[in-house]
Amino acid sequence: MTSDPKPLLQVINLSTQFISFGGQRIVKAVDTVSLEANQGDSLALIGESGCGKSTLARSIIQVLPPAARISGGQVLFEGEDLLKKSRHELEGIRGEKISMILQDPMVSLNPVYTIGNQLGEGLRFHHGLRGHALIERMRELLLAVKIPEPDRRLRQWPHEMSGGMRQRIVGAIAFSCEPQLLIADEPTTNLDVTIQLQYLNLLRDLQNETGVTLLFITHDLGIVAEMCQYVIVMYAGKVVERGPVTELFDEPMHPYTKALLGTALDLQDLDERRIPIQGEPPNLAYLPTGCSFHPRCPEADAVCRGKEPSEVSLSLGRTVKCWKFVNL
Amino acid sequence: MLAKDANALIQVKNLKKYFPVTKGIIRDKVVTWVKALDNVDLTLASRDVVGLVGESGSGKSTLTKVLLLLERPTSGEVLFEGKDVFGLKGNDLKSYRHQVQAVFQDPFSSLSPRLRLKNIIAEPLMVDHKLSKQEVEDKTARALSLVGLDPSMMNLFPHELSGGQRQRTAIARAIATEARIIMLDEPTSALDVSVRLQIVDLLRRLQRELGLSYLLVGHDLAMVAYLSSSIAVMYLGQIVEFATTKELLQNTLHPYTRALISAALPVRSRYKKERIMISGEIANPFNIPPGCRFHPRCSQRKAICSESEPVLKDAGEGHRVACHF
Repeated sequence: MTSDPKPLLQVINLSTQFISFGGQRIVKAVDTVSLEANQGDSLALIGESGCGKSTLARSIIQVLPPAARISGGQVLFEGEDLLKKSRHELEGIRGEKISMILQDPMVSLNPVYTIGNQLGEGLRFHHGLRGHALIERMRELLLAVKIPEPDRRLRQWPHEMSGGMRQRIVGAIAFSCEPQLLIADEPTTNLDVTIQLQYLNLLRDLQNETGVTLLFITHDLGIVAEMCQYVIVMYAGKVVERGPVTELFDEPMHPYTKALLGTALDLQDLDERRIPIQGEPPNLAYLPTGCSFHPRCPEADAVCRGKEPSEVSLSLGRTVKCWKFVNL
Repeated sequence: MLAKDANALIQVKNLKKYFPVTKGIIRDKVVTWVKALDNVDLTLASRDVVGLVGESGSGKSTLTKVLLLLERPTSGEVLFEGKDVFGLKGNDLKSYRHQVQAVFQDPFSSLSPRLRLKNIIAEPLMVDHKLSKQEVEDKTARALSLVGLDPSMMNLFPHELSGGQRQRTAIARAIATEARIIMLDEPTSALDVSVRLQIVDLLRRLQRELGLSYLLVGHDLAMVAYLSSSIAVMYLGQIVEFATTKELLQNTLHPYTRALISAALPVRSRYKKERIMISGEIANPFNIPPGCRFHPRCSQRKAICSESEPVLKDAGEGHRVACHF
């Protein structure tokens, strides 16, 4: 995320709202969020459930539930605004240039189609592959995600595979059209820890080979430390802190990031008693005034309750949104 | 382990639980057996927290189910204060059920949506008819305040609560009967990251204040290690390593435990370490590999591993491991 003249993905002041309670209330799930990613970057979006990280990712490729509406901003992909594309144009981009891996492979694979059918869908649609060329490419893909006996697997159904294998198939589908941007939304939450490590290694190998840009959504900070170079911390629809992973995890600035990291247990220091974050994630329909985090913040004062802070730049690529750092 | 431990509350000896796999529509023919638990020995002492870790399918949940009398074992014994729990009847059985409670993974499905909190928590208390209405209400209120919920919330329904509050309710239900042992089956995996540590912290405080014993099942090794005094690592229905938490982490003997420790990804860069990745997936329990069950995935396997099955043996100071090396 250096200020390269032409980043692959540039999200500028994106806002996505949900119309809730019979149209009476607007829930700002994503509120004026900006980010950029260069070719080959791996970027993590972290935060609690409901902080807007998935909605942000879905807004980029515009696969949102009916109640959601993108209310402002731009999503520049290779310099072109995706929000201005027609439905037809978007169909040509989704799965081809931008693809996605979702959390639960039981849900993202269709139980009534064979693996071959689902793996080949993007290749047929986007690349027009048929017959022998299609089979050959699918075999390559399965071997790339370390699934042995590809010919047999292509004829099998999702229920015949283990969870880890299914998620590797989903990975193969995501990589099938050689995308430039891969959005992975908690891809390993449903996997066992040893399988999770295998999957993360596989993703990283594939990323190194193909140079894909990875947007990784997770709440597991260990995965972020393992996989990503750059991290964006979200709270209540807004970015509260961003920076390179090692720097940000070793020296968090925002009280929320500090608290979030405080909850992460590392096997190497378990002796120290951990202090949990107080309270629960806020209800986005009834956000507090001022800084959204102030009711849970141990350092909050009158200023925090009254007015929202703006994002302050600390060093190259490192920003924080907290009153403590304003006017410094 | 310590077979004559005077403190032992629950002792599990040579426990086996095999599930039949049947074929045929009219007359079920048993084709094979799934060995969910195969010769498990475990002791849970008073005020002790034992963690059970392992992948899905390793038998850790089955073990808690047997201890909760939800499954009958194929063979083996479970002794509660020296008495076989499967021989308990009448008031003894009632008393066992009061003393051994459970908290499950998902508080969205473990609490009935039709009952108010007071009924959810009071239900196990009502089994004991000797309590008056007032006593039941007092106990419910006390349980709620112990878990950090306001007793005035007892008239709410579960859907009015957040995930963390629901899990607190499930814990309140478990401690309301003055339980001594709680089976915690992945108590934090369904919760949000920030709420997880709140529940872990609560469990730790309750364990100390009320002198509870926990059998804690989890796949988050860091969380299990944070709460437990000793840890049993399970693989395909067997305990492959058992030691105190400190010993297990500092002097890891079994290759599978090493892989599990490696898979617990550190957050802070100063804890970055070399990864030991194991290949493959947990074997199908219908078809357990011969010899050491872990050998197909083990990086250090030798010829002996596929031939003879290692037994759990003492490696000094109560550290037990089932590995040829």
